[in-house]
Amino acid sequence: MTEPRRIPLPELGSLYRKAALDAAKSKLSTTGSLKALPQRPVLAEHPGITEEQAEAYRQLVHGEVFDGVHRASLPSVLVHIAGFPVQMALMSQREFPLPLLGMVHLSNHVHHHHPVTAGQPLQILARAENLAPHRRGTQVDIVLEISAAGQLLYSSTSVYLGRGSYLFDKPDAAAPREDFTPPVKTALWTLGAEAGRDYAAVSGDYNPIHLTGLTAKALGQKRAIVHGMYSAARMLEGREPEGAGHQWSIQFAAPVALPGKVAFAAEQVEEKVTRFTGWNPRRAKPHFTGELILP
Amino acid sequence: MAETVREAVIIGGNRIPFARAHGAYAKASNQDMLTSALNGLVARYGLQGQQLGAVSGGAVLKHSKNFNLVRESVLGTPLDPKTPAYDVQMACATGTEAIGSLANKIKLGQIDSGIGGGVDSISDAPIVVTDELRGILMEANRAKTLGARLKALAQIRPGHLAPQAPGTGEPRTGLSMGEHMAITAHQWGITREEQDELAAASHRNLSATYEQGFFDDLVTPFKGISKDNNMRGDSTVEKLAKLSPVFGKDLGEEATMTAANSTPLTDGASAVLLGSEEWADAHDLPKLANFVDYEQGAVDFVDGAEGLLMAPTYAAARMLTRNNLSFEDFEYFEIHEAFASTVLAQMKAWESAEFCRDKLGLDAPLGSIDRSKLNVTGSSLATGHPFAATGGRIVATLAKLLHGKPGKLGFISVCAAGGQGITAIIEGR
Amino acid sequence: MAKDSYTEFANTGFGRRITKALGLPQPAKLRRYSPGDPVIEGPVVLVGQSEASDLIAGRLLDWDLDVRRHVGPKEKVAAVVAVFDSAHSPANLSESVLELGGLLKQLKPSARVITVFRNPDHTEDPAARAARKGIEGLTRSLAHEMRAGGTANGLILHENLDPAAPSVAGALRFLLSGRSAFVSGQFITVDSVNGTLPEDWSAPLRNQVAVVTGAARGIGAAIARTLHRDGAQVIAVDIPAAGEQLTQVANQVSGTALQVDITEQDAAERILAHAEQHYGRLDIVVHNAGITRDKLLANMDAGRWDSVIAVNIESQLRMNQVFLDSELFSRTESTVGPRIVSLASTSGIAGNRGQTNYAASKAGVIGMVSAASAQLAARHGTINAVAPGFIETEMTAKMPMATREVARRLNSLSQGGRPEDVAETIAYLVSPAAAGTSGLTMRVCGQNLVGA
Repeated sequence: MTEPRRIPLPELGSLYRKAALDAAKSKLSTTGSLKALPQRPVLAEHPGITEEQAEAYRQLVHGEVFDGVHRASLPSVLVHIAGFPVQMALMSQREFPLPLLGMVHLSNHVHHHHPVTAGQPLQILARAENLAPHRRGTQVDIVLEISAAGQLLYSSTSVYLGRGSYLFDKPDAAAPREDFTPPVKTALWTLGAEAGRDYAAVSGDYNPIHLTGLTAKALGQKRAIVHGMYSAARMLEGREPEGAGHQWSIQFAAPVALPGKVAFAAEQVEEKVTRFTGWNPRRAKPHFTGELILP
Repeated sequence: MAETVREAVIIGGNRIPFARAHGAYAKASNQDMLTSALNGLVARYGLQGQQLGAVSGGAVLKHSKNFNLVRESVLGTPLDPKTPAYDVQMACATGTEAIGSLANKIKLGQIDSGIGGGVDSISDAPIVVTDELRGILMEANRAKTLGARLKALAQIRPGHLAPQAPGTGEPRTGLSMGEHMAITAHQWGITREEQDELAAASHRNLSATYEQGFFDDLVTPFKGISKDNNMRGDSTVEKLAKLSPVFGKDLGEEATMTAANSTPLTDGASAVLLGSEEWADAHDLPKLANFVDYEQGAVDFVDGAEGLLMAPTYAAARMLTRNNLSFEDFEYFEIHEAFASTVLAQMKAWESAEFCRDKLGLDAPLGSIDRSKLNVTGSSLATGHPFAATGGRIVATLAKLLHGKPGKLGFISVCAAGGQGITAIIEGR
Repeated sequence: MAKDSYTEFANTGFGRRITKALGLPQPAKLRRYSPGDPVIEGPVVLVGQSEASDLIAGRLLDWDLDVRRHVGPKEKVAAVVAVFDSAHSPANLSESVLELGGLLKQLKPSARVITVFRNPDHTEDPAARAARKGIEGLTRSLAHEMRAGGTANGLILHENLDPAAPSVAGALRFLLSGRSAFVSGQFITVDSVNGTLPEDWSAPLRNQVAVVTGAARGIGAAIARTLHRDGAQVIAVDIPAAGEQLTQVANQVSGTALQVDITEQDAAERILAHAEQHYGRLDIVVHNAGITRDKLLANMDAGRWDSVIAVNIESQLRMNQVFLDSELFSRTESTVGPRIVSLASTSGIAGNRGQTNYAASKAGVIGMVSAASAQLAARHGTINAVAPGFIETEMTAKMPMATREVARRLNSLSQGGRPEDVAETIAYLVSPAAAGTSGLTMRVCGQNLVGA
């Protein structure tokens, strides 16, 4: 592995503006895309997640209070939020082969090794791996490694799909879709039209696809859709251990259109393993599946 | 209970007829209704000018202006204004908890008399503004200058103005109580037929009990209503079978819960007068029954490991063990019919050797409950269920049923939101 | 209650001149009792010299009244008590009658004339009975002649009754006081020495427990309030459907509310059980509950007839039997036993078109009361009826305006009575000071022209 390129902590707004510009450019020249991933990871110093951010996150998910004593360990999704601009910076590099705008989040696998606390300065490293064909484009793994003072606290692999960007030959038709039988629901999420804007306000991820029906339409969605990681946040809320050491994952299927309802089930499949399912309660179509493995 | 404590006696009760929401009581507030129930109790037992030990009660859905609901209601009655009053809240078990805790105070000699009860109004439910609007208004309120205030108010957007009515959804799951119960009912294999039978019986029993004049000294009319207006005395299983399910619709063909075998949203209030034996005698008041014991329970329902409304199964096990009693020792059973399936699922759980062993930690199942002793004067499916008022209805009704049957026992089970519940024992005298 | 604007108008200075000039009725503002009022203010003139007259004078003096045998020609007079107990023949009424007549022009507003005489039915001497009946006729006619809220009533003593009997005093005091404001042209009979006078005339019913049926509204509520004011503990009874108003009444009078339909077979048992539980006694029963289901007899159906009979008279007969069979109600304390008052009606006396069922039930009450007095007498108790005339209630407020206006003026006081007027008479009849009076039907009608 090569030495990471040190960058200042990126600001998401400017990345999106750049992405829009790039999208316009790529329309001009759709050929000649790179087929190789940038070899150099990027590394940014993060001053630490603030208590205000933690509180805003708590209000968003109606979660438990971070009092710094009994509950000091920040939730994984908030750590992901801290690392997300670095992922974005990596993907918005000129040499990155897939356009940032219209990138679809396919899954997230997280190993939350140790607690991350508020105010703790973090080193966030992002790198790209496994550029691979997908039936609807090309997928890529973005790995995040978040450390403090040399100790790895959190690592994750986010799989993104560059939809419609066929860098490889189109794979054969998809495997036949398995019939989805919803489990017994344990909760029902009622998401208002503002759910995307609310998550954006907390995460800084103002991807227009989440904001309004109009901006979503411009990006090819009928209605605004909720951030995938919002579902992860709701899924994990109140379930992560204070001492960390847990692993979790989420695979996204159909996006959740706003406003909307998500039927949700949490099933304990083994002593330390909980399986999650989120689906459309009307059409019994899955939105996501997930898993939490306690240490 | 230990031998040293004294008896807490149920002297009598009063309630206003329960009315379907947005109907007869649409313009009545919680305070109006609770005051009326208390006034009726005061009139029935001649309590004008009396200073009682305490009045305890509450409402599940409450305006913030009603922060002192019970006290304000007491001040509107002829009771001595020196009577202390306080609000309690345990969802649908509010009334039962209010009564149980007063009984304990009486047993301990802290007070000699008290009134426990509750009230709820769906029609007068507090409408809340969105959190955003509330934040803006609070900011404007805090602003020190006109400019700052206008700046704060300028943030208001049309979308902020949509009011938010409180729902019956569980905050932690977002599922309505009916949806939760539909899951539990399905898990316990409760059939549509047995639910409809229970619902029809509830209406039949309530109607027959009114006919006998049984409620003449338990109910005082309000706003021109003299009987629970949800009651359908001509209800039959055949009629109920025609209704479509309203809960658990994602179960498709296996959905069983209809509007008739679920309680409707209801407005109403109730109150129960309690006292020590000495106090009752000194005031020439009747002694219907003793409030023997009660137990709270709660289950971890959030991830579906337990049914939301199954907490009374646990409370019952502990309470019966503590009192060395079994179901055979009871003359009457009052199991609150939040839904027909709630009653049936609880009874099925008590019959299940597996559930009683694995969950309740019992050597043997608690056993079955004789249906002829169950909800003999009708229950919530027929009367309706104004959340906090149900406990007072059940306690007063059961006490009157047991009056004149010294030593005979009655069993109460009331489930509540948040995976909670209360069971209680009362003894006739 | 409908507002009697005419009476209000006629009581203004301008209104008085107008109504007088037009020869319209001149309803006066009646002197009504409130606690603390003196029995009557001003001279009370005694007419007629006899032992009874002297005893009565002594009684009135005990009450600190300004008792006179004579008054000056210009002096205002509050009341005249004319004692005729020694009248043996119509011929010897003249002196006292003319003396009485001479005083009438000196009467104050809301004055009282009370004639006192022996019971005509108790003498077989034709001349004596003629004389006594003559006083009755005189009293009734005088009642029509009284002005400015004044009333004339008679007090009829049993042939052998000691005029010092408590109930003579009780009746005199009632008739003199504002309690009898709407009672005129009536006769109170005193037949026995039963009864006791109260220690405190402002609380004549102290320590007494009374049940009032139909207490949720109107006259029943007024009865409950008046009995409470007079010191009684009140059990307010009404049908369960009237419970909300019943609660208010019970709470106003610091009593207890009992929701029971009096036509239920066990109604009396439930009332007794309630009285026993809460008070340990029951002294007074007021049968006030009643219904009307008006229809010409030609159009009468079983539902209307039977329900009126069931509520207004059958229930009372059944309940009285249970009450009288009970130890709680039948026990006697010294010379005062259980007391019952039933609501009759002037319709029951005079009849009323469209009210055959109601009139039958109310005449039935009058019959029941006269027949049951013997049963009660055995227990030192009393049973009486009160027949209200036109009373301003929610019920009469629903009458058509013109009918109501005519009904109001059709009596010697030219106005409707109030529920309190009926209640005052009942409170008097159930008081220990009226224990010598039983079997009577007293009208509270302002001497209604209808029916006598």
